[in-house]
Parts: sequence; C-alpha cells; structure tokens
Amino acid sequence: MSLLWFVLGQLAEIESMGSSKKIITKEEWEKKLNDVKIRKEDMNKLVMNFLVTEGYVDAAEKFRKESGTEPDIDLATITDRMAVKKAVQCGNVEDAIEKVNDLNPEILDTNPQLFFHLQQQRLIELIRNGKVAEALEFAQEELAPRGEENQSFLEELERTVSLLAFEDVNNCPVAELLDISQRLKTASEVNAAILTSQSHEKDPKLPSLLKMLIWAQNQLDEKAAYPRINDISTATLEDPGV
Amino acid sequence: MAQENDVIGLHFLELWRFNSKAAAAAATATTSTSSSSKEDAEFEEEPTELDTFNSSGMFSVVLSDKLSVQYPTVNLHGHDVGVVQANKPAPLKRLVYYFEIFVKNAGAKGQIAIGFTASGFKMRRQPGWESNSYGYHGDDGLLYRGPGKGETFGPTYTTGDTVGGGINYSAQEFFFTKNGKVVGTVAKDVKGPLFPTVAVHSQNEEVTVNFGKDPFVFDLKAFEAEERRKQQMTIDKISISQNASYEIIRSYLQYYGYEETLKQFDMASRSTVPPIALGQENGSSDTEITYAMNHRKTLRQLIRSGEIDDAFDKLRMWYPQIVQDNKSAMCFLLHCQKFIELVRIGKLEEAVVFGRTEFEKFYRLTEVDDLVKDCAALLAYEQPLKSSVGYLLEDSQREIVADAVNSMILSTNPNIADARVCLHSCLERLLRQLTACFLEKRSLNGDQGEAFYLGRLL
Repeated sequence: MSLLWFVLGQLAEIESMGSSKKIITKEEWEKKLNDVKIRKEDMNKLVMNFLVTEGYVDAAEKFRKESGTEPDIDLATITDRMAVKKAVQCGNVEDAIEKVNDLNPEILDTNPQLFFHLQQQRLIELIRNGKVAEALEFAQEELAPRGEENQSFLEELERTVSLLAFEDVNNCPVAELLDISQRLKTASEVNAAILTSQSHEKDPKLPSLLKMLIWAQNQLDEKAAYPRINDISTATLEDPGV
Repeated sequence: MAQENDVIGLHFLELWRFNSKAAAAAATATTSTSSSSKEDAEFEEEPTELDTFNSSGMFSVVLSDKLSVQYPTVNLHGHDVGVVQANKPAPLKRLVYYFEIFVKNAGAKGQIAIGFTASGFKMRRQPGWESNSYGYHGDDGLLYRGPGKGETFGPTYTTGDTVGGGINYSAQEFFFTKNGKVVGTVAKDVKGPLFPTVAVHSQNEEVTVNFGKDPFVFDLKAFEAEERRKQQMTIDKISISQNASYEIIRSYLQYYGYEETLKQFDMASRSTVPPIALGQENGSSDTEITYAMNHRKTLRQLIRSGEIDDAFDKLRMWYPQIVQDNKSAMCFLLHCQKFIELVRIGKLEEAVVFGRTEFEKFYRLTEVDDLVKDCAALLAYEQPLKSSVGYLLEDSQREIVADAVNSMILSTNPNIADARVCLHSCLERLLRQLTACFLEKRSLNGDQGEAFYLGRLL
C-alpha cells in the first residue's frame, strides 16, 4: 500500500513537472485582447480585398459607397475576369479563351500550362457532349503537339483521351475529369492567372489569416493554456482547458 | 442611464483616445525616418556603433568613427585577442537581426572573427571560444560555439570580403554570410541578450562594421521574404472550412449594417457554382445580427456624411433610450462630432457657441477632458486639418461615432444579455485573438520574433 502511494506521488510529481504550461484565465486573456487595437480601416480593406479577389463586383461597388473603402483594383476589370471564369464554369471554353485574349493576350502566351489546361477542358467538353470525331481531331491537331513539348502534358492528354475508350464514362477510372470540380479547377486557374497579370494577389487574404489564427493558437498551445477560439464562424472564446 | 450601455460608449471613447495619441505621436516624431511609422510602435534600441568602453584595451583600437577596429601590436600570446562588442545587444522583436563587417586588411594572419556574444563575455577571447558565444572565423572558415573545436562551416575570408552575421528568430538559428551569400546556419541554443561582436587577432588586421547605416551587401529583404514564405507554406497546409470566409464576411456586413453590400453579396453567393450554403445551422444568431439593420444603415449614412442633427433626430425617434442621458459617453461623442462638423464647414462662430454650451457639461467629467481639449484646439488653427488635431476631421473620426451608434443600437436588442457582445464583429474578435496569440507566444519566447500587425499585410 505504502509503495502504491509512493508511486502515485512520484507520478503526480512527474506530471506536474511536465505541465509547466502557463495558465491564462479568461479574465487575464480578455484584458490582453482589449489591449489589441484593430483598425476599422484595415478590416474594411480586408473585406474589400475578399470581395474583389473573389469577384463580387456589385458587392464591392456597394461596399465602396457604404464604407468608403477604395478597392485595390479597377472594379471594371472584375467584370471581365468573372465573365471568363463563368464561361469556363459553364463549359464554354472557347469563349473563355477568346475573352482572356481580349483582356490581355500575354496571359496565355506566357502561361503554357494554363493554355494547355484550357485546351484540355475544351476536349473534355467535346467528349461530354458526345462529339467523338471532333474530339479526336481536336486532340490530335491542337493538343498532341503540345504534349510533345512536355511530358506531363502528354500524360494528361492520354488520360483525357482515354475517356473515349469507356462506354460508361461516369463510372470509369478517369470519370473525375467530367466532374464539375474539374471545371472549377480550370476556372480558378484562369482566374488566378488574370489576377496575377493585373499584379494583384491571386488569393484573398482572409482565408490565410484564418489559417494563421489556427496555427498561432496551436503554437501557443505548446506553451500555455488560454481561452481558445475553436469555432471560427462564431468566434466565441472557450474556457481555458488545463 | 443604464451602466451597461456606457460600456459601449466608453469603449468608443477609448478608440478615439487611441487615435488622438497616435496623431500626437506622429506630430512629435517629425524626424521619423522609416516608412513604417505606425506599426513600429514597439521601438527597440539597436546597435549603432562599437562599444569603446568595454573592449580589450590595448589589443584592439576602435577608430574614431566607432565602426572600425584595428589590431595594432604584434600578437604575443594566444589570449591576446582584440574583441569588440556593439554598443547595444541585437534587438529581439523582429524576424531577423543582421549586421556586416568588411575586412579592410586581413593583417599578418587573418584571424578575424564575426559572431555574437552574451553580455558577460571575456574580452580577451575570440567569439566562439567561450560558452554562450558564437563565431565564424576568417582564417579557417570554422564555426566555434563554446569551448572545444571549431566545426566545418563555410569558406575562409580575407581582405576585401564582406562577412555578415545574423539571428533568425523564427528558425532560432544564427546564420553567416560571405559576400552576400549565406554560408551556413547553426542552432541558437542560448537565451538572453546577444551582442554583435568582431575580433581581430594579428598585426594590422582591420575591419569596419556596418550596423545597417549603409546598405548591406546581403539582400536581407529577400531573406526575410523567404523566411515568411516558409512560414506561410506551413500555415497554408492547414485546412479550414471553405465557407468560413464567406460567413465571416457576411456577419461583418451584418454587424456594421452594410445592408446594400450584404444584399449584393448574398445575391452573388447564391449564383456561384457551386452555390454557397450560408448560415443555415445558426439561423438564430443570424436574426440577432440583422437586428435593426435598416436603421443602423441609415444612421451610418447620416453620420458619415456629417449630418449629425439628422442622426440625433432619428435616434430620438427610434431609440430614445440611447440619447436620453445627455451626459452619456454616446451623447458626448455625438456632440463632439457636431462641433467637428461645424468647424469642417467653417462655421466657427456657431461652433464656438455650440461648444460653450455643450462642452461645459462634459468638461467636468475628467475622463474626457483630453478629448474636449482636442476638439477645442481645432479652433486655434487656420488650417486645422494640418494640425495635430487634424485627425478629428478625417473619416476615421466619423467612423468611430457611426460604429458607436451601431453598437448602441445592437445592444437595444432585447435578446442580448450582455452589451459587451455588441462591441466587436466576429472578424474583429478573430483578429484580436490572432494578434494576442502572437504577442503571448513571443513573450513566452523571451520576446523574440515579430508581432502580428494586420496593416503590414494589407
């Protein structure tokens, strides 16, 4: 019995040594939070950046008026960019390519990968619409020469063309190419390229700040027990778990 | 007036005071050199020259520019090292600290060293020979850290070379450069202040130190950018719900009553492919936050366009409880704004009359006399916008008043038990948490590293 108590005592001691974490109560933490000053102007900029980058042109226009925040890009360019994005999302790839070239021919000239992906998407749409002959011709004439330049393009081309080999394309190994997510992927690639060509960052800042919050909390977890925010969408402070 | 409502009013007075102090600080700092004035509120002293008091006396001579060191005598003994530390330790609250030396003359043996040493360092020893010191030596290119042999590290260096030493606080390592290129890194396993240190050890050796007064040979900016990129890559691997950003933007628009924007945002969100499912799980909080949206929008517009009388009328009509106590912080804010608007449109006499009647009752509230003074000072300047109280005429001041009214109205929602939840949008709470985590993490890490500052990212 006495040995058991001894062992338990030792264990407790080891445990207390291990948890040398600083404990910060909710009250103390709230005091620290109150010392943090976030400028309204900066938050407005963050919101505007999101609206602009994600292409909410009408909302961005209203937000400019309602909050007095100037967008960091000419709002007119958003409309054009969104038209391209929408065209890809709806499967009108030819239309999208034309629109990108109207916007700035350099985008596709300087970005062979993007151009290949758009052409690949065009091929996918042809196959989806059952235009087998047209698809084959397009693959051989437009895509194959590009595949010769680049091994990964060639593999992608082969993968795409293999859609033609299956009776039931929706249940074949490359069915994902026909999925809506493929269109979205291509659309967001074009969107990013246009933004980059306008010397604008391709991603909005807010999502990466949210990730940074999770990261910073995880880092602080190693050294302290403090009130965390676990649910980002409500931003409620939890009680510090010890 | 209910005490709880003053929580809100006082909060916004505090924001005002914050702006006032920032404006005053900016006005006094006329010699502000760096472009980054506001965010560098946490100023730290940094090394500017060599320490001429605590050096190894006869074995080194610091020249009158306090940036050059010479070894004058014939070296007689292995211990007769000429070591000089910087006048200040390397600053901590940043991503990277860095300095450079230029080897003017490698002298008889080229036994030059660059490194970092703790404050009690023996001034007759090469950096790296003692514990709590690190040195990159020119004659053998080895790195020394504490008693014992040097470790293979980088190339040797001699006359004409520029060599740099840095502390990377984020990676917790030292790095050294030669002629603009990093030659190696070593883990930093020492705590406490560290002094940039140089040593000369043979006849005619001479080096000059650059603590950043002149441009570095090494591209420090690029190095920092790369460091941040690495950190960002780790952060980007974290996955978050795709809708999180949408929800936060949405609740921000709701919270501040940006009704028109919200309408467009919702409309566009519905037509995106794939459509975004928003706020379905927490429908209840949704209605709370859309509370009185239209009133809040109207009042914001009035205040933002300077129509304070109209805003007052609307408040009296819609929310008499908010403006009922004439001495409340909220009324104070509105009265001050009215005064400011009169000054803005040049109705100075009217402003004087208004100020005399209104400020009189607030001047007795000692907690706001500084703010009253700021307002009154507007009258003293021919061009008030350019004065130290010019901030009052900026949009940000109207914004504070508009935000205060917005929060006040939100707090009249009978479903809200604690007025404090009306103080911040969800976005602001997240950003405050983020900033506080960075600060706390740094303070638990011996104050090392940079803080999070939103403005820098925008």
